[in-house]
Amino acid sequence: MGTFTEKIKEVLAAVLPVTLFVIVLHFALTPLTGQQMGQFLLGAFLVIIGLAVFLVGVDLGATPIGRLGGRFLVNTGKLPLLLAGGLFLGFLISIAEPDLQILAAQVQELTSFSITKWQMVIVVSVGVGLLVMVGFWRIIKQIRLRYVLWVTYGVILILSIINRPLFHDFAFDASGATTGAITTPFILALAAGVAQVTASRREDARDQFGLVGMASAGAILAVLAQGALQKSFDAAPPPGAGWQPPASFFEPFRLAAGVSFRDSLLSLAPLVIIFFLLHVTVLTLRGREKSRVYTGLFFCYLGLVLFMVGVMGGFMSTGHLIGNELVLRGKPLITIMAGFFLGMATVIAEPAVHVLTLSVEEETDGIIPRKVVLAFLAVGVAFSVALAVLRIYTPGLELWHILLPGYILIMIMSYFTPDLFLGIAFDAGGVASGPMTATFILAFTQGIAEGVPTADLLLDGFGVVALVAMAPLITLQILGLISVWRGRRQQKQTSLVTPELQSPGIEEED
Amino acid sequence: MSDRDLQPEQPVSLLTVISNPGKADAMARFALQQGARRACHFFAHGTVPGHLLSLLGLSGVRREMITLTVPQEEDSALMDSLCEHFQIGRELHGIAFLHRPDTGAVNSPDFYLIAVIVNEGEGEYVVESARRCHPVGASILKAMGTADHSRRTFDFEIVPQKEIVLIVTPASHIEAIYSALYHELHSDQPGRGILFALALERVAGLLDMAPDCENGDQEEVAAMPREADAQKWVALFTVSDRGKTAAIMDTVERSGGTGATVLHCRQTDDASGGWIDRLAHLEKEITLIITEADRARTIQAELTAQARETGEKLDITQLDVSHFVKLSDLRD
Repeated sequence: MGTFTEKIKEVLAAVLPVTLFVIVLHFALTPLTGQQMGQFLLGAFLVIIGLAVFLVGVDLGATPIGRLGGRFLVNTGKLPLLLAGGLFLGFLISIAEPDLQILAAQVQELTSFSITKWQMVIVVSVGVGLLVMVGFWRIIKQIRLRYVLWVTYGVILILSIINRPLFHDFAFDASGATTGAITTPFILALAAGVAQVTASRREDARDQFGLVGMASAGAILAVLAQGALQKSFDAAPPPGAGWQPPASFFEPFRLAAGVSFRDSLLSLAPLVIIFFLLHVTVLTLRGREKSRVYTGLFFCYLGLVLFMVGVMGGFMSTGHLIGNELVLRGKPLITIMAGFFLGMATVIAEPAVHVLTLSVEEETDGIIPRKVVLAFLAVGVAFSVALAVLRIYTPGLELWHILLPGYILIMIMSYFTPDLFLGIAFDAGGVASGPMTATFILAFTQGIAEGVPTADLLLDGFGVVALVAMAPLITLQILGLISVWRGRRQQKQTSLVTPELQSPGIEEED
Repeated sequence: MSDRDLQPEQPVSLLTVISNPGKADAMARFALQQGARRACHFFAHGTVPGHLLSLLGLSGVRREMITLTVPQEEDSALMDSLCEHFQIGRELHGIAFLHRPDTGAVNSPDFYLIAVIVNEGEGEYVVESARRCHPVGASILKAMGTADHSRRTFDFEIVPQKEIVLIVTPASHIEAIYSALYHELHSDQPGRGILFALALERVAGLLDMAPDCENGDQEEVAAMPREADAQKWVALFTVSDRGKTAAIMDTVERSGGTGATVLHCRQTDDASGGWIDRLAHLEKEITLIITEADRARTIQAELTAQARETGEKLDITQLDVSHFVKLSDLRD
């Protein structure tokens, strides 16, 4: 059936690794009960179907809306309108993100109501909106991404120093929460729509990459700014995250379904509103095109619900159990290794990762193949999950002990990385921390943390998302550096062989 | 990037293969080992026929297209071995077709490649229109048109996005498809698009689909403006590095061309290179200029002069176009 068959094939390749890895663990290390295994396999089945339907929906619905919106804003030719549009769109999609609502509720608990839930949601959304706006401004003014990132992360560093560590955790988790399954494809398409105007002019840079990274940075910035302004408060003890074995086979799926139906609707609502406003007020579209986008949005909804039910119903408890079992065996090295491979397999199944890698391949006409981006991304996330597990075992190793040197390295690398790869790297950071990480990997690490007496249940959970979001920034910049190195070498070779026919090759970076 | 072994005197053919995603790299490597000079990769968008599917928007599939530059004396043999090796010709394994640029008007070719250049978003509509009468396979490529110099936003010229629809058809159906397309698409607004055809030497993998209705409206055929009859039209195309096309476009416009279409692609000319070597390459841009034969000579001369001035190497290939039709007046 055309698109569906194609997507099912792609999605199978994406979800099978993690499924197989869990099965291998089942036989080798952590035997699961029959019911647990059945739940996991049913979950995997739902994830495959859901992801395929969702991705078809993204192609038909979310991406066209982003492109149309971006192009409309840039074609108005008015800078204030473009910037206001960026602020509005960034704010709207972020405020509806279910992950952010969950995070904000946790923050409200932990700060004993000195930061209320809605205060937190609105502050983060404003932050995302502002940085999307800055991202638009950068494209139009042709300011290089690295300069904007240096300023942004410089401010983040200053704010981090004057903040207490608790807010570091909130901030980096918020960045993961705002770039969810539906937000990321939309922002990617939005950037593509705006960047189209500059496409004919530049040779080396593809301005459409980097906006997701900017949006993530916006969330971090907003939370830290809020933390800096906040007067002191008594941190409440974290609520006990009790986990009970489910009553029946279908119980977890039923519970997940209730949540997913509502949350998915919430996260799609802004897109419906944006598209409705667009075609009622400013765009003239054929009836066929309109109905196609609405069909796409419906597929997005259906797919997202199935995906979330599968992940929450089948994957979460399995991840929790595996983590728990591994830690009881008392061999930290094996647990860390398991985390490594689990991280590697899981990120491949992340919905937004699929969208990003495909758009990278198409935009560069296959010069940066999808599989290569995926491999570098997977290795990065593998290391970060392993690090997160290591951190649980090591009391006193705070999040910033890893993040600070990590981001300093990233900023140094960004001086040498070509703009195209820099944009892809920062986008990848945003997409890697999607719903799969937020549920499966998080449950896995919490399962480990429960078995380690010195671990802080809630805070160690927060750290995972921050680490997963950081790793691709390093690995994909390495890919960029490889391209520079190869380019230099090829240029040297051509000039040695035929000096008179020296081809321009790649533009030298710096 | 080693176009150096491309001798312009040696006649070349263009062998194009459209296939499912994932196979094009292997095909290009195979062809390069067998003597092809270079391969250009494109990402295309195919459509699967089916009314319900297209209504729901599910008919789209991804396709990869490679165009191989092949020495003319070896083209047929290479096509044979490529088709055999990759099973092109069997059902749904893709389609391959061969065009010889310089042999000019082949006496009544059996097959044509119809190319329709329209504005972005209209490609699928073109495919539907063509299918209304004849079940054709079609692929859509993304392209850019000529900048409209009168309008700017934020200091950037607005470059219209275009789509190129490629349809391979037996010569017997071309008139009917033309009339169906012209009937559906022609308009009074300028810049609607153009239609042209290239005579094909050989085709493999074209499904033998019988038309499910009688030949198109005869009156429409008669009503079509037939530029092609009055003047010989040709297509010029150049391959250059990404970002270099702006200068080429300027030259084309200065020497009287009405506009050009730009396609992006990736070029490989070495069978041994893996992805890691590719990373450092720039994408290529193909500029396609459709114009009258005598004007084409001026443009070609200007472009060559320009290339000599800047010291860059630019190869220009000329293709003979048949059945050229404008869907509306060109802009400017």
